[in-house]
Amino acid sequence: MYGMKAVGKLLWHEVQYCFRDPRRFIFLFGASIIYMFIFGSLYAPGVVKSVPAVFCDEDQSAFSRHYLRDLADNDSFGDPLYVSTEEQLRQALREKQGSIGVLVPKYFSRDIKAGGHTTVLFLFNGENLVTTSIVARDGEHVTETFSNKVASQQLALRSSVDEQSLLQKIEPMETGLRVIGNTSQTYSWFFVIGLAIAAYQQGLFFAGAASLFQVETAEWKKYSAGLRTGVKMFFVWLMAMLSFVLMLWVMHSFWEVPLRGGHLWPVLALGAAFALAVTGLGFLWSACFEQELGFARVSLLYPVVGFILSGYTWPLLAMPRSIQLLAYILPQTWMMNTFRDLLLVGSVSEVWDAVKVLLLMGFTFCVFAGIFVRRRLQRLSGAATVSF
Amino acid sequence: MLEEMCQEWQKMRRGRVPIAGLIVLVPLLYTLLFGAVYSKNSVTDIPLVVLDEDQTTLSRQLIQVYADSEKFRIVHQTNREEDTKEVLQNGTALAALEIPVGFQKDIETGRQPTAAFAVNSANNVFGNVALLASWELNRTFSIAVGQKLLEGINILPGDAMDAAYPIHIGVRILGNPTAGFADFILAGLSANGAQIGLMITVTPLLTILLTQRKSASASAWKVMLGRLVPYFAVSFPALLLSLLLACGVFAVPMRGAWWQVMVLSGSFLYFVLGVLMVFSVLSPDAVMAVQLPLFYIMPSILYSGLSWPMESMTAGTRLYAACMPMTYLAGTLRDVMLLGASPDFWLSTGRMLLYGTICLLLAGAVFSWRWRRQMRLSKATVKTGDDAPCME
Repeated sequence: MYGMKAVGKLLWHEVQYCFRDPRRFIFLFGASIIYMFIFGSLYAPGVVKSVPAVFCDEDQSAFSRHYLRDLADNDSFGDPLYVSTEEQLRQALREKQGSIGVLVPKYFSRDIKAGGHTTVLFLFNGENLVTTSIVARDGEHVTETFSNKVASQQLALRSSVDEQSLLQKIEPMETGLRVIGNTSQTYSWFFVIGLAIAAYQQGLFFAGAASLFQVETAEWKKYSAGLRTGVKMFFVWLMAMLSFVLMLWVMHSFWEVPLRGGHLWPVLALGAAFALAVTGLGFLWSACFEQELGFARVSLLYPVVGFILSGYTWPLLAMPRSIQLLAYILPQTWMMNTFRDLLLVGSVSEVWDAVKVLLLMGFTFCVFAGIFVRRRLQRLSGAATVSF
Repeated sequence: MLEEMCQEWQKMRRGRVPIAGLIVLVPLLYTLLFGAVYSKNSVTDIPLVVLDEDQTTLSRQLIQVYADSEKFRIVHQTNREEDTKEVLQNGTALAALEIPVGFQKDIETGRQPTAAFAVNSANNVFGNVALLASWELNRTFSIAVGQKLLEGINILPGDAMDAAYPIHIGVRILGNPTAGFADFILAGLSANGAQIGLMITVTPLLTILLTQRKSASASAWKVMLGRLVPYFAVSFPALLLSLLLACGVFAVPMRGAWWQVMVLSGSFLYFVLGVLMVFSVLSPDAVMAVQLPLFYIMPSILYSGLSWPMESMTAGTRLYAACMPMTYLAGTLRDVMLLGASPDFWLSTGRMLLYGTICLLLAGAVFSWRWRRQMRLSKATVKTGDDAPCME
């Protein structure tokens, strides 16, 4: 009973300290929300559209004009710039007047009508792969549709067979594409989820370090170092859970990120386990430093590394095995993809494995953090006068 | 000023982890680590589940086309649609190919059956790669089948191919012909490492100077600039070394001239130092000075247009991006490295130098004001006989 009273007093002391030094609240509650707004607005258009295009029509026939008009009508292509030669086309791409160039060759129309084939050249300013992959997909799709239509028309003229039945032979099957999860393939959901988690983690590190390095009052020093350590970690974890719920609410309300399947409890369990692992890691890591400045410096090396290694953008299966092993020891790796799949796909199958691993990490980190932090507090304040 | 430079250099060399070491190591480690991450260069072996409800020669041929592709790896074959959904849901496979009953019969009778391709696009990278690859494989299969069907109506094999597929598509990707991811992003990440290295080391500088300096033996401007020179002198070769590493170890091409890379890198670091000085002088304490740029330097790699194109940004985000040094470096440096030249070279360099100078002037003016105020305060406390509260 007396122990509970002491815990309550120490928790209240932490709350008061947070109000005196609001940085902790700002990083705990603000980091993920600020990141959501920074990146949510960056990726607000969701998908890449109207990519600047340069067209070169060496044929100047009705066929070629029709084809280029079909391309220009596609959402991915912006208002095209027309040039006369291939050299001008390349020059325009080099000068960044366009990201994609389309070259329709001379005799485009004649070759098709003669029953032969022709080759349309797509030139990409390929240093940006996002643009390249999106425009390539749409450009090839438009070309295929046009090609099939032309093929059936020309063959019907030559063979006196019905055009529709020829089209069915030329295009014998259709492909139905179904996208699961992020159905519109919007980048805003994708990045808002990932970067909010990355910022949340960093905010948690900073908050933990601020708690650890805070100047202790004489009243605080009356309690044992072990109890103080436990309360500090518990307080940060508790605040982290509140922050996680707030982050979820902002994600859902402002950025309309869905919670497919409505699995709220698995989401909260995952969040709780992740918060525990990160709190433990943050305290353990910061206890290795003499000053908060040293920890703040080194911890800032982690967000980019953690984000890329987590496999959130570049998939883990496309990384070498050694890097994969390194990635698996980071809590972020177990959180990010599972959390995103839970929200966007409603997939719960991997959640419990991730929760187990995160809990194991959390308890391990917390135990070691407890030992290191306790030693540090004892060193700083001398022997405790009250123990439990 | 020389004295200030020497003092700072001495300070940078000291400590368990010397500051100079951090500035050099961060970009180098970022380059090595991320170079290793992207060493496969493209996404392959996407786990695929197959549901073949037709079980005919044609359906098996279509499956074989997927099996032969390096983009997909068939991990599961199911007999029911529910099982396919479950395999997708539990993450065993990330894509599914479903061939309906009567697939071959419908093709032969001209009913155009639909082969369904489903992809879990929670990760957009997977989604884009899988959709593009599937479209290309289906197209190849469709052309081959179409050719055979046309031969069936007495068209010669050679003519049938041209008849079924009159417009070919030639694709040429300038600068990055293999569409390699390392070529696309590694130089930008190295530069990001350099600016993070500076961010964690240089931002507390002015705050520490203001709280620890006892006397004003030099003017604030000389102190600030003198202290900055060693940071530039260490970070500049570190960034160049990282880029060299990217080219030498991870085969990122260098088609442009190294002098251009040096000019760009120098202007970039000058701008970065200027911006960080502003953060440093405006922060109430050293820890805050390190923490604040989290909301500015960290997002810069994604705001730079390196991955998300500038044309797709809103006016507000473009304005925010325009304040970041990375915006002027990333695209221009990649152009120089991959294409051999950049039309924005001089414009980007000029802007970085101009904005860097503005930032340094601003930081210098505030620092000068705080410096004089600090000295006045410390003199006053000495006269009244009190201990200077903010001295070391």
